[in-house]
Formats: sequence, C-alpha cells, structure tokens
Amino acid sequence: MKSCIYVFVGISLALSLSQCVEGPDQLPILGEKEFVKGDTVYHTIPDFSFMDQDSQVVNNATFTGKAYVVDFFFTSCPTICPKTTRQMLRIYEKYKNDDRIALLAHSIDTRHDSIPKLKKYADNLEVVSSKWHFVTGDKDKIYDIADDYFSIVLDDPSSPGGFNHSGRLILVDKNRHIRSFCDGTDPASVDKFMIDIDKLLSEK
Amino acid sequence: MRLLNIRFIHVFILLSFASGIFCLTSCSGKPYAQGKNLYTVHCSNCHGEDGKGLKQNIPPLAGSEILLHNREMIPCIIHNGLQKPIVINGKTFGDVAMPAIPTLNEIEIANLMNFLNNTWGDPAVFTQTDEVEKWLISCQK
Repeated sequence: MKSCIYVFVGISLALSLSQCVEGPDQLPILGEKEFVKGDTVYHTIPDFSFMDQDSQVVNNATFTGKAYVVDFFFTSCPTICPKTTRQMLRIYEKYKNDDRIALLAHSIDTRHDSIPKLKKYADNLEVVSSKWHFVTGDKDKIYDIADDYFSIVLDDPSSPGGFNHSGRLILVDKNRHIRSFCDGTDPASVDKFMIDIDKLLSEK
Repeated sequence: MRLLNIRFIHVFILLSFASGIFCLTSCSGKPYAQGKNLYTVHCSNCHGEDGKGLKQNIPPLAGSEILLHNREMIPCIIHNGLQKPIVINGKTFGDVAMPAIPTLNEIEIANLMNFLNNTWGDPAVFTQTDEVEKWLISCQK
C-alpha cells in the first residue's frame, strides 16, 4: 500500500515538473479549421498588396519569416484610433530592435489618407517605416481583408469621423495564421497581448 | 444639570452633522470633478488620460504654455476645433485637425479649463464663466 502511494506521488511530481521544464503553453491558431484529406487547414491571411508611407509595396512577402501586429485606423479619427495607436506605439517601442516582428496599420480612409499624409502621420510618431508600415490601397481590398483579420470596418456617416471600426490589434505568425488579438483601447488587454507576443516569438 | 447635558448633546450632534456635511462637500479631495468628467468624455481619447497627446500628431495639454499664457484661445479651439497649425511649447502641430465640440457651454468650458490648470498647469489660475463667454463671442469662425 505504502509503495503504491510513493509511486503515485513520484509520478505526479514528475508530471508536474515536466510541465515546468517544457516551457510556456503554445498559443492556439485562431479561426475556423477545415479538415481536407486528413490534414487540418487553418484560417489563413490571404494574399494582399498595399503601399506604405514610403511608397513601398507591402505584401505577404514583406513579412516572410516574421510575425506582425495589425490594426485598422485613419489619421483624422477622433475616437478610438489615437488610443490604439498609443498602444501600438508601446508595442513598437518594446520590439523596436527585434527583427522577428513588425507592425502593419491599414488606413480605412483611402480617400483622405494619401501616402504623403500617412508619411507625415508616421514621421510624427517618430517611427521607422520598415518596422511599422502605414498602408493604403484599394478600399474594397482593405475592407475585405479586415474580415480575415477578425476586424470590423464600416463606412458610417453617422459615426464620428465617418467610419465605424473595431480597435482590435491582431497578432499574425510567420505562417499567416492568427495567434492572438486584443482590445487596442484597453492598456490591460494590451499587456496580456504582449505576453502572447513573447510566447509566439519564443516558439521554434 | 440634566437639562444642560441634553442641550449640550444636541448642540454637539448638530455641530458634528454640520461639519460632516462641510467635510463631505469641500474636503473630498476631488476639485473640478465636472471638469475631469468632461475631459474624460471629450478630450482623453486624443489628448490621453495623462494629457501627453500623441507624439507630434496630437499636442500635449500637460505642461502646455497655452494653459497659462493663451487661455483666451482655448474656448474657441474647443468650440470650433482647429484646422490650422498651432505652436505648443515650441513645436508645431498641424498635420491632424482637431474636431469641433460645439455642444459644451461656457460653464462646462470654464470647468474644463480649471480642471486642466489644476491638474497640468497652474492651480492658481482660475477661469471665470464670463471670461469664457467673452472669448467665445470674439471667436473667428
């Protein structure tokens, strides 16, 4: 009887210790899954091509081998964008010198947010373009891809600024899979998001 | 002797009650609560809960010289917004326009300005409602 208990305790200890040695849990891959011919196909960010504040083409290849953080905003936004940009700035500052991650902000006001305007906006934030891209492009394509990033973007003349959109920040891995998201208007939510970024970056 | 005691107790209770009310209303330690609420609702999204703005896109209010030396500009800026560049503490801000908030009246603007000075400017500077009224009238549309 006693030896059974010792064995039981020993195994439990070993199991719990092994959890500690293995390291933090992996972030799940978010979105709908499909099972195709025995393989799991995860929700994937489709092909895209936009232009950033330096008139450089920004597409999927821009983020090869990197994770990236996404948001949707517009420069004349009077409500949530300054808050979310402030949080994106926190993320930028923390990972400024870490080449494994970049930032991608999409303007949803393609009419007014020209490339020179995006350039001024980005330069005023004192950020490096190759690290934090502010992009514009075909309006329909930006609005469509917002869905793929689990973000809501709507033309809404009755909303302050004329657009209604979510303040989500989304984390994409180097395989175009979404691994985390948060409420960019809430610093506490972004605190947790940054822990998720660290987890993702420590994945092999 | 007993009558005197009862009277004394009544006066004591009344005085305690009165001073309690006095303390609640004036010693609560939260001056310009209405100004603070107005700031949170109308200003904090852009200018930040810390009043520091957003780098060179949105100017800071905290420590801004406009609170001390150009108070007369503030009511118009709040009422009409700002579509042209402005210099704050030596830096020019002109790339992002400030939206108008025409719904605030002169009392609310005065409360807001007093909250700003009390928190991030000079607490000794006090803005009167009739000053705001005067400045609003002379706004250039």
